[in-house]
Amino acid sequence: MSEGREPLVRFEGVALGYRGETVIEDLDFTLCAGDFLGLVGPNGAGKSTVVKAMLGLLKPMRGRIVYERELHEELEFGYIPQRHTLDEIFPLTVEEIVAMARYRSAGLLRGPDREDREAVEHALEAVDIVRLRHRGYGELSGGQRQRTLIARAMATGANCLVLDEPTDGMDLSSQEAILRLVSRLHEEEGLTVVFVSHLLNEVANFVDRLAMIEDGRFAWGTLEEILTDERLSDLYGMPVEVGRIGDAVVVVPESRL
Amino acid sequence: MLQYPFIRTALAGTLAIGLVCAFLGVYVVTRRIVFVGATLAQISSAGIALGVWTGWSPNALSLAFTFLAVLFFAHPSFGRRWPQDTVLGVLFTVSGAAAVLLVAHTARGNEEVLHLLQGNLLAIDSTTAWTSAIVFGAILLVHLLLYKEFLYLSFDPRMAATQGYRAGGWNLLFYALLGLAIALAIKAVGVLLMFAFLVIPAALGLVLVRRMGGVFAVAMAAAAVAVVVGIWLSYRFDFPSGPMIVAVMGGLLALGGTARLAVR
Repeated sequence: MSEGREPLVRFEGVALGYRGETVIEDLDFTLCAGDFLGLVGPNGAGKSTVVKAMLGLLKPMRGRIVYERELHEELEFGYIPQRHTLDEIFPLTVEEIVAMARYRSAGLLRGPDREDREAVEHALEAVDIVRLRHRGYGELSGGQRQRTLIARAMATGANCLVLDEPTDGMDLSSQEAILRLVSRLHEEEGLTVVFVSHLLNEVANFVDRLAMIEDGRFAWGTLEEILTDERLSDLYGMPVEVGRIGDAVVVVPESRL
Repeated sequence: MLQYPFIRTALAGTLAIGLVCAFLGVYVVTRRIVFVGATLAQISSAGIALGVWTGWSPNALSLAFTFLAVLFFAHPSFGRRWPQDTVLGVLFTVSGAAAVLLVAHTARGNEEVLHLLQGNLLAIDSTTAWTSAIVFGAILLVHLLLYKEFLYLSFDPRMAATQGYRAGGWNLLFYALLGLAIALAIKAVGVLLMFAFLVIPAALGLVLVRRMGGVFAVAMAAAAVAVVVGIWLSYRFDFPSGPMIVAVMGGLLALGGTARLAVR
């Protein structure tokens, strides 16, 4: 558990899967308030399945997921889906998409009130897309779309952002910009963050906790606990070396050194 | 032509159906479920055909068939084990064949097949016109009242689910309203025109406008224009009215697409 931080969600011996087939098992980890957790693993390893379970959209096949009672009511997830899952055929503007976050709290048969409009405004400002508010989602770059979805998650009033592969398919500078944005929101807005990626080198320099899935194996801990030659070699099933370039951590297979 | 009561009735009934189907069509096209719409229409026509063959109520059987299909399409497992388009292809062809076979040996076999396909707008009676206006008006009202929910759950159902929306229930309501509209429209205007109302006006809206509200407005306006112009052309030049309305919609879409290309 993260020292001094209140636990939000605990996975206790959880196995997850679909239609009776296990995708991933033996998940034991805790997400604490204020964590910046990187959930890393190759495509198809089950990262999105873990996210679904965390959000309460998928029941465990075995084990249990505990939402700490005293904090549960305050825990609001802001889910940011993979941007390619959203269809740009819908002619929606950035502002309209961000405003969707407030539909639930507005309730049936009611439009947005002042509080809703302020939440949307704050979210647009926080991710620096006020100037894009009237642009169509289909006209945006990958980075701008990601910012729109982050703003929508923030506008829900979430205190825990869950980002599913937000930098997938982006160029290096866009990846860096999104990671810096999420890092800033984590620090300035005090948000708990779960950042899903298949690129360890991408997230290792921003997060403070790592949960790694590799070929059915699972490891979780602080950067110091996870980013060691032995631990990663064991996890990947091949010799791996953890090095540094300046302040940046770099993980490389030994065969490429 | 408006001096004839049967034309006024046909115009009113078809307008009610066209306006609401064009509205629903925006969701059908943006949710990329056009083939679901076509298959629902075909299944609905199979229900009507069974009614014609057995002498039971075609309307009741059409609604029953359509709602069974709605339950199937709205179920979360739909498309998981088998690809959706494969399942839809099977249902579309089999129900289409069933509709033809069921009426083939009835007293007016060929006429019934043609009726199922292209409807007979000019035979719409005032009861059907009023019923259409009330039921289709109610469907539109529900959609307008729940606009933000239907839009959100169409655009991003998973995000909506994380906020507590029961995506399955909303999906079922969406399909139930769509199925009701299709089942009632088929009987009056036939498979061809009903399906055209679901697809062509929405496509025109998406070609011409880049705002959601505008797409709905253009789609409904296009359907209304096509109904009025199509019925007038069919009266003036003695053509079947359903296919003529479809042809006008096709012409509007071609004009809209050309205008869009010219502006670029």
